[in-house]
Amino acid sequence: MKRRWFLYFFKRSLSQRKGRVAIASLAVVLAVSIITSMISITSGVREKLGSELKAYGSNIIVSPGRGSSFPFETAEAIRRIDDVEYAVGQVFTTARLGKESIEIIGLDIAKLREAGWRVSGEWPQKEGEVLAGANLKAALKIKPDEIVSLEGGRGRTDFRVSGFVERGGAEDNAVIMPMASAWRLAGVNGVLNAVLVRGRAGGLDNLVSEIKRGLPEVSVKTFRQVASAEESLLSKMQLLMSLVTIVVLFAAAISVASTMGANILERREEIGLMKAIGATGSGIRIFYLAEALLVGFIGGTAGFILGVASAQAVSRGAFGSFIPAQWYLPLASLIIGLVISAGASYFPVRDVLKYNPAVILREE
Amino acid sequence: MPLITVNSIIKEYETAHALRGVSMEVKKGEWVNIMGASGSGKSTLLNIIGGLDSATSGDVIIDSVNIEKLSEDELAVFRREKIGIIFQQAHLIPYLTAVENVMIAQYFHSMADESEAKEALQRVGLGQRLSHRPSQLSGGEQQRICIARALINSPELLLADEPTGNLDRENTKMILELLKKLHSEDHFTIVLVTHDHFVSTHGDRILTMEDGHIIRDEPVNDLRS
Amino acid sequence: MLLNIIGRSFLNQKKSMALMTASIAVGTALVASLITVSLDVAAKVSKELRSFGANILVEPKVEGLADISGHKRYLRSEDIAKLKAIFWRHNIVGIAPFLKSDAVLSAGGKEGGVTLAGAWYEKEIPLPGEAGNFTAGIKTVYSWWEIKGRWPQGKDEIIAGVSAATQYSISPGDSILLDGRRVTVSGTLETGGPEDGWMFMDLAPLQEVKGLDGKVSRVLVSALTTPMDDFAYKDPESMSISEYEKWYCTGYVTSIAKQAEEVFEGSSARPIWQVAATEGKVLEKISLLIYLLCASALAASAIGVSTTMIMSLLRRVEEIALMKALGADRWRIITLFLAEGILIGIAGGLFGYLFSIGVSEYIGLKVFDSGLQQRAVLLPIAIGSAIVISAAGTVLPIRRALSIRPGIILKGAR
Repeated sequence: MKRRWFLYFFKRSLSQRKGRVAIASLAVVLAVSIITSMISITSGVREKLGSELKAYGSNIIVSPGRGSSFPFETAEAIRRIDDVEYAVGQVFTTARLGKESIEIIGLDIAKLREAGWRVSGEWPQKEGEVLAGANLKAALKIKPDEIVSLEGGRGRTDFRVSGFVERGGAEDNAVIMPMASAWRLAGVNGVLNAVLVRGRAGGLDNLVSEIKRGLPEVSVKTFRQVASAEESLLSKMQLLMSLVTIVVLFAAAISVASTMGANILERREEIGLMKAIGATGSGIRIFYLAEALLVGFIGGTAGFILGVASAQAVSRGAFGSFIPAQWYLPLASLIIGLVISAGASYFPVRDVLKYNPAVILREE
Repeated sequence: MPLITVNSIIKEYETAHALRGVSMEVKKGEWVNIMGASGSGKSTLLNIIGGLDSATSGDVIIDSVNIEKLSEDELAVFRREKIGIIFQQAHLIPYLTAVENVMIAQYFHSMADESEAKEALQRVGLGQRLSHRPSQLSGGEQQRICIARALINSPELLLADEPTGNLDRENTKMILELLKKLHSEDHFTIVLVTHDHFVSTHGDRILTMEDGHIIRDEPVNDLRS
Repeated sequence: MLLNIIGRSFLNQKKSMALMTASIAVGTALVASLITVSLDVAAKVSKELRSFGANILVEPKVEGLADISGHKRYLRSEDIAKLKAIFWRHNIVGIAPFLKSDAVLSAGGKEGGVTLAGAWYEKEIPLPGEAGNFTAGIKTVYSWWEIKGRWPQGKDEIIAGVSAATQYSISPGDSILLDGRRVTVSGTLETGGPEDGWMFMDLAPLQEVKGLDGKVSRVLVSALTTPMDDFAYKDPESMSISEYEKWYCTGYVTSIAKQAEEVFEGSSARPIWQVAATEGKVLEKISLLIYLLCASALAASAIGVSTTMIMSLLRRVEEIALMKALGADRWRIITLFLAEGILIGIAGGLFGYLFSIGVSEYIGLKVFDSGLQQRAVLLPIAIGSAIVISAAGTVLPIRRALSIRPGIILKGAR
């Protein structure tokens, strides 16, 4: 019965003060949505930014432990391991060009395009087309579409240079060709000399030991320049986002506190009166707490939806892909909504209750 | 034994003394008016008797309980069980109707009972105005809700702080008639603060205050003569 | 703090003023500090990334195939300091010259050929044409190099790459023979790259031993750059004169490389694309991310502040009604409350700006170990937007109050 009347007065207070409740809810919705979206982005930033760093190239190099080559299937085996973003097999050989010996790199040319390499001229399309490094271009003074004659283990083969690459690395001195052409030139088949692996940033040490466990006969090395740059960048970004989240959380909490605080200030007279006619402190608190919890619930739920939507919009804008949803996010949003709303009205009510009713009523 | 015994009450505010040692007694069923100029301490005294404010020192014994010694929650219980208060401003909750404003006092006391609340409003002559909101009612009508609310939990003691201060003569007379009826028929003990001589001619006794002291204590009849 | 303000003061007016000012200050602080962060984050991250490897490689110009297989051609080490005299000299944050040579290593009873590289670890070079020094060497381009043991001191100490060390069973502290000369291995290095098979020693003694005074075989340069855009990818040779000038004077990695090439006689300088291309992309993403966050925070705090303003002013409906009853016209009431809103906006914006300096400085120190660049231009922006927001928050309640007949409000309706 008591509860029925509580609900009765509670409903009256809400239905007669719709505007106020709506404004308070709006404040909580905004606070929760921005915090939710920050949490969502912070937890996703590592992965998103990590995949942007893909272009940094491989961070692990797997090479034969004994001998100079391993079977082609090794790359396949590595690719199957979790946390491997890609694994590209490479064939290294040398060929004579005139009197000089030059490096030949055989790999899947399509993978280079995916990795964002730039070519002046054309990408190799047909059998017998290759890319040449920028230094070779300077040394041979050749133009695109010229023919070079390379002499490998199987004799002389003519290749058409369809384009040139400039990487600022060893590739600049080499001829890059499809794997099959390199095999044919070297007179071997189905072997690789190295696999370049890109592991998800942050878990490289684990990945290295996992590869070693699965393929005991290979040598695995972390390319530390890439690994340490990535790790440092990602942890900095995550730290940055976490700090910004805290600042936002603080600001949002204050914004809710001041909105709810203004609401309670407005109702001081009411609180004083309730006290004067004999309501106990807890009886009064429960009234305002109930309203705050309702506002917190509305704010938490709507804020979650709005927050996830805005996080996805930000992620779409910045990374062109969605952030995977975190299971705890709906719960976290709801709790944040309830806590800041309840906290923001509990403390002002408590402060009003500190005063004697006479003091409050005299003010009004 | 008197219903109210006030023993050398002192009330200090940060800058001023509101009460400088006040002692008084009110017998059960008595109607006492407290008069004095503004700032004389009469409202402070009333608030302290009603447990709405606490004294700096001294005792207030009501129905053999020293309310100055009560905790916050005990005080709340005391207020809802023993005291009915009528304010100068009605202090109604703006978003509740007349009958709901009475019911909320019942709710905090024990249980809201709509028919009882309606009855109380009928007694103060507001039977036709039950579901109006305070803003739709006149000052006199608002004040009558306030009285109905004060009476609803059958208090031992009715305190009124300038209950007619905002009202015209017509409404003042009506409120005083109401109080008179409550006093004579239902034997309510009433302590009423006013600065209006007309108001103070009702009731049994007049205490006059000046500068935080009671300077006179005389029966109403004497004044009339 | 704020919550105490609420309970403390007896004068409601002061209380809600403080509430509104605080709310605006916090909103402004949030936005201003996010703007400060977002304007500076790209520069900070870029600087951070620069210590993870050079982005420009300067090598002797290749004239024929023989130049590729052998390393018989050199750059002049006297040209190194000139890098600090080019147009983009302030963007050059790391320079590391190397002289590659072949040496015979004998250690642990084994003997064999090894690549011996002469390098600077950390060397102070006088700035050309200016007072002062700048620091060059491996530590300025490969800050992540970890030496097991310690860095070499003096000319008789060397670093051994980890593969070479394993092959010849060398540990830090061992004494070995290089070309018949006795040296001590002070530490070993593991990078996962070709350096693992090399030996490193101080540049000058190697030049002397090899009779290659003043010669280096490559110079790695680490430069802060402008991210590459479509324009930057155009072939400079096909540009018009004005395009070329624009390209040359923008800090693209390609144009800085071009300028590096110009200071080294007989050189060819190329961006190290793996590093350069990724960086631009990552920086772009990070900046965009922070901008978007900034925008959503701005929207949220604007509305948050408005809700506070509305809530605070709604309780003053009575006051407005009273003014109306006393004969104030609409215009006078609006002016009064707007003026109040503007005043609150100014105070809130000012406090918020000051507060944001602390917040963004803290974030900068915490994340990047250095403070962010504080921009005074944010002060008028902060105050301006605070005024707009607070004025906007004032309008709704005033309009509401003005539309109600004073009599009703004064009787207690809200």
